[in-house]
Amino acid sequence: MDDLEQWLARDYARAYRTARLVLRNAADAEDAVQEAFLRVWRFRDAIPADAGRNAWLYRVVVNACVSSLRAQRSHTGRDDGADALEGLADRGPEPELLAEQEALAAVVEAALAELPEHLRIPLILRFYSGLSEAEIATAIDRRPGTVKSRLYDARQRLAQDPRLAAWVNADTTNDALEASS
Amino acid sequence: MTTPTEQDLTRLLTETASSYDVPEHGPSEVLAAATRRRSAAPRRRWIPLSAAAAVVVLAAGFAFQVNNYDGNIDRQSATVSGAGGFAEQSAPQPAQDFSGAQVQKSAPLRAALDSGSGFTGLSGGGTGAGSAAGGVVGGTAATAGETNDGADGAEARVVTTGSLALQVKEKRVGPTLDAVRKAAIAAGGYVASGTSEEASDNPSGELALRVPAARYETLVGQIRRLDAKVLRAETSARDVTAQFSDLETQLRTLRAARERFLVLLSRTRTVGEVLSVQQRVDEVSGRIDRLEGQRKLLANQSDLSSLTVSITAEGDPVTSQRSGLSQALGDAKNGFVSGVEGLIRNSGRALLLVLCLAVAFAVGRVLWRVARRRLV
Repeated sequence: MDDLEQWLARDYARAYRTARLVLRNAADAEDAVQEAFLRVWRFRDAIPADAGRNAWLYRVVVNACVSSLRAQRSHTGRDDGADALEGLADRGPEPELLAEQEALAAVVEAALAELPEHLRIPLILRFYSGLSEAEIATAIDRRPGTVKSRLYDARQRLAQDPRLAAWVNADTTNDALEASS
Repeated sequence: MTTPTEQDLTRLLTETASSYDVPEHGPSEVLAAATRRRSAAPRRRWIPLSAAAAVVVLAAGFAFQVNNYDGNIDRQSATVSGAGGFAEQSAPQPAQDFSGAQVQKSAPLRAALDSGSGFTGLSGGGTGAGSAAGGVVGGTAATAGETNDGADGAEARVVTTGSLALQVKEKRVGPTLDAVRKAAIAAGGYVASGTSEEASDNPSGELALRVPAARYETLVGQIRRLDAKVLRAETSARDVTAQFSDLETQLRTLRAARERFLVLLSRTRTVGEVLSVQQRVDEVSGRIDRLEGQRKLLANQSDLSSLTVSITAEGDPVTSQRSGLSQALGDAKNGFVSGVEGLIRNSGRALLLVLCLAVAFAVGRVLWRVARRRLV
């Protein structure tokens, strides 16, 4: 149990945020991550020695997320609005910064929402969760070559999103200005 | 159109994700749920392993018992003493001592011997074969192994075995052996085996005779009239009527079942059906063959009685009865050999069973792994 506690302390937040990025729903993300940790913990002895526990954790997270997304499609819509309001109410005393962060989040989420699942999930695992292509391959049960191809496609799709491009360019300009001053 | 770099994507996603508040109660809920599952359904690897081992042991034991029952008749038939018998045999096993003057015997038995009217003390009892058993060695009563109809109409079957220990004067061992042999042949029997040591300091000989059950008493009477002292005489009769009848019934049932399976076999259409029915036919045929063998053995044993005649010369130290210790050692040796035979006889079926279970275990393990991968 101590092992599980340490593992949760180390990886719960990142796993939760990964699920949140995929699902864009706090409650579903929490459920998915909880179930994922429990399953991996339960089958920890059965995880192949050459596969990292985290890769399997994200595999379960991904599966839970996919199941949840399918359930969302067939039942009710997302509660993004409520989550966003809740998030704003809980934020600290820097409204401008928070507003900017919220705006960025909205743009990124919108861009992610435009991506199909099979592109969105590898993208999040690679650039947020920090998994290698091999680990993503384990997580989504595909070959590493497929992962590489999907990551490429995802980036190409994101490049076509003008709002996201504006944020990227703005950040790049700001960085350049800060560097010159 | 500018493709976002990896750094851009990492930064965008990280900033977006950092705007999500992580539920503080999340990890504790996972811990609580893990604790609940652990206490609700403790998973111990030794439980399924122990269960599997228990199944293997039980199955092997069952196979052993089934084989033991099948082979019971063979072993019982090979046992000359006739004590014990089959489980379903209800008649008590008469085993009477009709020894000569130097051996103690009961008064009624002595009277019966002297009068030549047979062994009145014998009683078959119970199954309608009593008259046959009672007359196993009787001079005027029903003769040994005589196939009378029992009360239930079944043909009475009695397996009779006996032994005679004779003492003759020196140099009379050979002639007495010849006389016994001739008497057996004259009675329609034959010598199953024989040994003699006539040239030794203590000449002796032994003959194992098989004679028609109906002539058993006649032969015993002829041998007793030889110029020899009867040191020991034993006869035991084992009523196998019930066992024989049971075998007949089983055979009839199995043959009928085989007929039905053969009819089914002619109606099968798919290969699977053919194989399935053929397997049943083979099983039933095998069972019929085994029972038929047992039936023939029982029939042979009840048709032909066994008599062992041992002859020693006067002064031979061997003439004394075997001591209890010697008898016990002999029994121990026989028991050991029987046990080894039983183990070898049953090892094939037990091995097959273990192999089947091993295959089932391997398949289950593979399925479990697949299921586990899907679960996770």
